[in-house]
Amino acid sequence: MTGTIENREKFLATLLEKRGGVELPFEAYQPISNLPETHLAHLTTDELLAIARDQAARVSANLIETTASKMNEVIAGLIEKSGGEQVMIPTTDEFDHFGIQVESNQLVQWKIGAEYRDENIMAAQNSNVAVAVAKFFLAESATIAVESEAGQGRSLHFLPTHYISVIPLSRMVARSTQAASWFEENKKPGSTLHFISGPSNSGDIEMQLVVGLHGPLEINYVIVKDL
Amino acid sequence: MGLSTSTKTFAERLEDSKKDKFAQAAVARAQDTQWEKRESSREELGNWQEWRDIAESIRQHTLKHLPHYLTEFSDNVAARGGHVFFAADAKEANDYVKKIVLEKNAKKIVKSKSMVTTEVDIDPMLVSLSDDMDVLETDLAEFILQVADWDEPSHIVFPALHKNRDQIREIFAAKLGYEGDNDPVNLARCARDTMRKLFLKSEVGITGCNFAIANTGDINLSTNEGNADLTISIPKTQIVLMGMERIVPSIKEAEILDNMLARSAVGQKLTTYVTFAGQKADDESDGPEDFHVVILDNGRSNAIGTEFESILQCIRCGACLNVCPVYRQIGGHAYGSIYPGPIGSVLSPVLGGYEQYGDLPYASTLCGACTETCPVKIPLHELLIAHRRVMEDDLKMHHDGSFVNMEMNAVGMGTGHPAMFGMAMNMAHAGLSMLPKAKEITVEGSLFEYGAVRKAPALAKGWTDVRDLPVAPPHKEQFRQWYKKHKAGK
Ligand code: SF4
Repeated sequence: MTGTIENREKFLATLLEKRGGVELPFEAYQPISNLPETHLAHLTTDELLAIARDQAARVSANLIETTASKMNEVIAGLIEKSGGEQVMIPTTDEFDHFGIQVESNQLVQWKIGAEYRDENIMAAQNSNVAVAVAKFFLAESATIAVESEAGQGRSLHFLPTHYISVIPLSRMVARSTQAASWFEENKKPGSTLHFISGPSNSGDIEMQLVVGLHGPLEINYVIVKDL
Repeated sequence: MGLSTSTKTFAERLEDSKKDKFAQAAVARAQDTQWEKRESSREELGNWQEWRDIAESIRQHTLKHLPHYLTEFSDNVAARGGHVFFAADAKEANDYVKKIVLEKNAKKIVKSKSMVTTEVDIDPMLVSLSDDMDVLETDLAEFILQVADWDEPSHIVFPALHKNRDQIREIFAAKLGYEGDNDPVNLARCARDTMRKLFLKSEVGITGCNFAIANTGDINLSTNEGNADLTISIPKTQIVLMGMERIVPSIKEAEILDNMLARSAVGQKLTTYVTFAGQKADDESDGPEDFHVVILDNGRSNAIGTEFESILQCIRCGACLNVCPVYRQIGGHAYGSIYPGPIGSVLSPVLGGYEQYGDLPYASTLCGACTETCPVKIPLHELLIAHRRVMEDDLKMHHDGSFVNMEMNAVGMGTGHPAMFGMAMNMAHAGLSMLPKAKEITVEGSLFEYGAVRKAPALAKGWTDVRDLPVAPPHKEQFRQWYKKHKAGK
């Protein structure tokens, strides 16, 4: 279904008039420097991981390093530490792909389909923990990049109280530049991108940092070194 | 409220600001804290000037081709089923939002912080639509201001900077039945619980837009609290209000500006939540089914094709406020515009005219600190001078500066006679050192590295009543003495 556009001609005519009626010939933007692409790009995986570790502490995220064989045990431990209760997981093939198994007697899965809107939102709201796989991990800012889509809605990342992000180390990149350029080419039509650096926070009361305003109160990054 | 936050004159607002010692101290503390955070995050990044050049080039390119990008963006929003409304002014924007809210018969509206919605005065319009209308500001600071009977913001990044924790506790106790202490953690938890309940019932979400992505039709939002993310996830209808200049060609340019914004605003590498979203896809179950974008002119086009065009490069980071010695002393409310500080002093007359905002370009020391810090290289202090020139020379709106003129005549007399000028220079440091100094010396490298005079007599009193007078760095000899000696030695 196509949407609507109102008043555009009149609006653009005003802009043209301000330019003396002369439309400037269009040329696409040409970057004047490759600094964004080269910044930190020369660092090794170990060096980037060291930056990420330091930065994770600065954004109040817990960073745990593990291997594929211990990953599920680590996830189970984090769920238990968070108080158990309801755990929400997405419906994507990534859990199978990476061998992620979440054990919980209160496991709920994000349901695919517009008709499940209210059910999914309430299930996310009632979940104590969400587990999802990151598309990228940006070392510079200790940021996970996730793509919301049919199998993992937007609310899955924001409504549960605790959040566990499983990060294959192979998905670590230097900074947002690399992730943005991948999404520029590969983003699913209509999907939503979230770059999340630690838990929600605010400095609005006397500029004192308070963690956990709207989103999860706690974010765990589980970096799986051999995935 | 709209663009204007006060019906008082500039002089009256200044008098009010002089009395508000808490706000003055809060602004000074915010500036010092942000100085450290901002400068160290820029230093850590490295090549800061080159990053600024890149950011400037993106913003200038987009402004140059604004009609092209607005067309591309609106086509892409519509192709995904969204709706775009181009609004010439605040009234058109409000009327459109009103139409959507009435069509939806919505009674529960959540908003995430956005200057532009304040600029067009959307809250009172929404509240007036029906007696049982619930409008919730979901940014903590805006929430505090709303609960405090819609108090006005005083900073573009920290809108509730002028309120302390005791005042907030009292407001929450009176309005929300809060029984806890004044600890910001507990106050924030109370706000979280109150807001979460309302979020889950919300029918319409209203957001601003940090950047709009022309080639996808997505909007880009940055928050630390995640309130914008809930606003674009839960309600079935989302309305985005954006200034027409907030557009970039693709996510690649947005990424660069998001990084510049985070470092400049709060010294972070990236804001906690940086999101790119639009109308939900058919098979998704949350996100807006109805997605509306209102693109607003509201006076912005007054700058197009003029010497003020570069003010539209602004990415609203607030760094210029955080280095401004005038903002430091008079605080946000004194400006009488929702855009305070150097950005506001340049932008407000462009949007609202010289009759109402003509005082603001004079509320500057022209020290250039704002220009130097601006991540997108807007020549702010030059634009302030340009405003003064337009008012004085082109419009013959002679600024009522009788006191200023008297002072300047005295300075003119002194500097016009070599002997008097030399004498004044020699006495300057000795004179200043005798005056009572501010006790606290602000962070190293800041504007007042060598301290400041708080109470000066005679002509300088007008200055120190509302501003700190920085003490010049210590010196061994005056330039003129040095020059004489070296010339003689030749
Ligand atoms: S004028 Fe520059 S420094 Fe000031 S808010 Fe805008 S971008 Fe930031």
